[in-house]
Amino acid sequence: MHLMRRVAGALMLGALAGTAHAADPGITDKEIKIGEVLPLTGPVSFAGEAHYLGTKVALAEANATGGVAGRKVVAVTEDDGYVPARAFQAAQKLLAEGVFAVTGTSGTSHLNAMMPLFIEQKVLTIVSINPAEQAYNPVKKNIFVIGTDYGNALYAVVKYAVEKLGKKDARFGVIYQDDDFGANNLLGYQRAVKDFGLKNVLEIPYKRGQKDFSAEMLRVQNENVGFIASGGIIAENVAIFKEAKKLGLKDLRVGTVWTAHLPIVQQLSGEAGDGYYTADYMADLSDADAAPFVEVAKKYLSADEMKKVNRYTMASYSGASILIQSMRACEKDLTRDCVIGQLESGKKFSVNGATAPFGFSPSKHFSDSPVRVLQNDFKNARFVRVPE
Amino acid sequence: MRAGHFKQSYLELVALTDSGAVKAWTAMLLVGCMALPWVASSYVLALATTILITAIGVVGLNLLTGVCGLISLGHAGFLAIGAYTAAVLAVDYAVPIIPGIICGGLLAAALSLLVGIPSLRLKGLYLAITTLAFTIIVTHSILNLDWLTRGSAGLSLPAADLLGISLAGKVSFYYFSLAACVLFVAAAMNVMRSRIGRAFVAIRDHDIAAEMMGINLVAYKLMAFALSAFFTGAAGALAAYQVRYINVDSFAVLVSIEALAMIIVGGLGSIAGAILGTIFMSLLPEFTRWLFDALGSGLTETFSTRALEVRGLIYGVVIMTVLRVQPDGLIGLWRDAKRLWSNWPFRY
Repeated sequence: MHLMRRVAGALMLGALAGTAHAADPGITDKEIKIGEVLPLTGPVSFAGEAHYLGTKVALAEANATGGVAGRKVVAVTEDDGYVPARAFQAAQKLLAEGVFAVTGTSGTSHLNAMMPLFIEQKVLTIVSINPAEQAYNPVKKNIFVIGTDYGNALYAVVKYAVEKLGKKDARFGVIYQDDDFGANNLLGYQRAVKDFGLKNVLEIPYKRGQKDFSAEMLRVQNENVGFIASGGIIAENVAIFKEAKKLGLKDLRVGTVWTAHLPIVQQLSGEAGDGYYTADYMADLSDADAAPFVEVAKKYLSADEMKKVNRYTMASYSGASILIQSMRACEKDLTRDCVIGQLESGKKFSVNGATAPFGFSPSKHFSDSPVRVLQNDFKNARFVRVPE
Repeated sequence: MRAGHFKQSYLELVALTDSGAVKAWTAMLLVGCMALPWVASSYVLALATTILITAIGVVGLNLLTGVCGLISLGHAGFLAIGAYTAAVLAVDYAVPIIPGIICGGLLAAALSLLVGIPSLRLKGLYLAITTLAFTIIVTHSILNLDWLTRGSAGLSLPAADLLGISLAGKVSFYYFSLAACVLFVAAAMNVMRSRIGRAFVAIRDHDIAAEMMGINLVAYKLMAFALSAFFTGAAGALAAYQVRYINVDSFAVLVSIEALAMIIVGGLGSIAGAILGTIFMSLLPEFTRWLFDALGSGLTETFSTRALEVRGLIYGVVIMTVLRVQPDGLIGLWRDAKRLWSNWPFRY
């Protein structure tokens, strides 16, 4: 019995000692492991794959220049199939494997499922795929979000329509999804209507998953709307563009948020979508600002992989890149606390032009990146930044 | 050695088993399950919890499809009803976990009558399409009843506790799920050994003949739907407590198809088959990942974003191979192994 107690005591002491000196998970003498949960299969796999490639570029770039304090940075990627329950399971797997940080957090509902785990286990998390408000408001010590509010993006396109397209006296309308995403869009639109004194004639909510927008666009036609703010995602935007063309609404201008800043929307819309406006905090690949990023991406990705690169690649590159920059600044004390300290130090991080330089502070873990308005140039398969 | 199954009373007929060996093996399995938290990593434990919860729903589907012969693609809907019932009760009314699970199961069972009634006239693919429509109606209703379900934003559940013990931890929730799984599996086994289960089998084999024997088709078909939906609804409620966040994305039609695949791969009509199918299909993605890793880290690098597609192909090929080699499913494989063991060195 005494022997048992001694053994148990020794084991407990050993465990305590181990805890006191243990480094954060995911760090060994040779490598630093980071994790990602991405929708690599399922309806938005184009976003997950693009995100995966962005992290791959950032890590290859870092490892080619010595890694972090001589350690190679490696990523463990889990697929959630865009199902929240699977995202939760994948997050548990990452935590069991031991990751220093997480840079891929799938969609909003998926992040909602995973976030309690990340908070509970104090995992440094950089949200770059989807700037969900729940992740930064209120501030969570270990979670940082790159991006801006959807409302800001829609505000920017309406502002552009007023100031540059001469639509001040036009009749305005908005089509928005009846959820948090849509509510955010609506707020941005309503703010613009108020700020610029616009004639708001239509506010049409639609149910998530809606595919047919013929009734909505007929109302747009009947109300003689000159500019419609579209709060669609992928298929919704495509349907809106096609319906506008079908109805012959030549004078109608459409503005969207960054969900339409994607080759897939451009391709599916075809000529019907030519000229639509979209606002994004990420640069377009054809933009001169993004040239350094494109150069790095071409260096580390195959031609086949380059075809899958889009704004989500730039977003994830930004997230992984600032993590690496912060880890490098903590070479002597490579702990999550130190890296968090670096991230919220207020210094501006530059990410090869993928997005404008940004930073965080202890009271603001949200980059609130500036938005730029882009126009779809269907013929040349690119989005052109409009003069501000 | 056992030489037959001679029974002298109805009580003996409905008993779950009279074999000492089966009892001993079952006890060992339970001890193994109880010991798992001591040896498994947190991820393995989470995976095991998911398997236990999935098994409850799949055993429920097996009662309807495997035992009673009524195909359902509506079980994602029952799962959603159970999950949302438990979540709404927990969030808005602070209802504890066990009443939440029971209410989830009961509401799913009540609503199953909506699809159960058409089943009286429909069979096969026609019934499958009707039940598929049910799932679509459920998911659309969840999206539209914002005041109750919070629409597409979903619901975050508080951590549950049971008699003052927090179920927020992985180990405690694993034990809770294990207890629930054992309870539901025992209930399903009892149902199958009873008059109700035998009536289900009779309906599956030939419903007109069953009716001629005095089985009330209306009552038993509806009972099969209600029982199956109760199991699935309870599994949904448990799943909601496990993830502690639900939204409509978790209840796509694919979930119903996966559940059907589990009972087919495991072996239709058998509870052990349903459980084996659940374990097999849940671990198969892990196996394909392990295979990829075992073949060298360069492989993932080479395939890049196509790695998941290749793993998906392997997943499909393994399922096809299993069904080609053993059309009776994994339980058929198990029965063959048992027969070989009992008869060796003779073939028969």
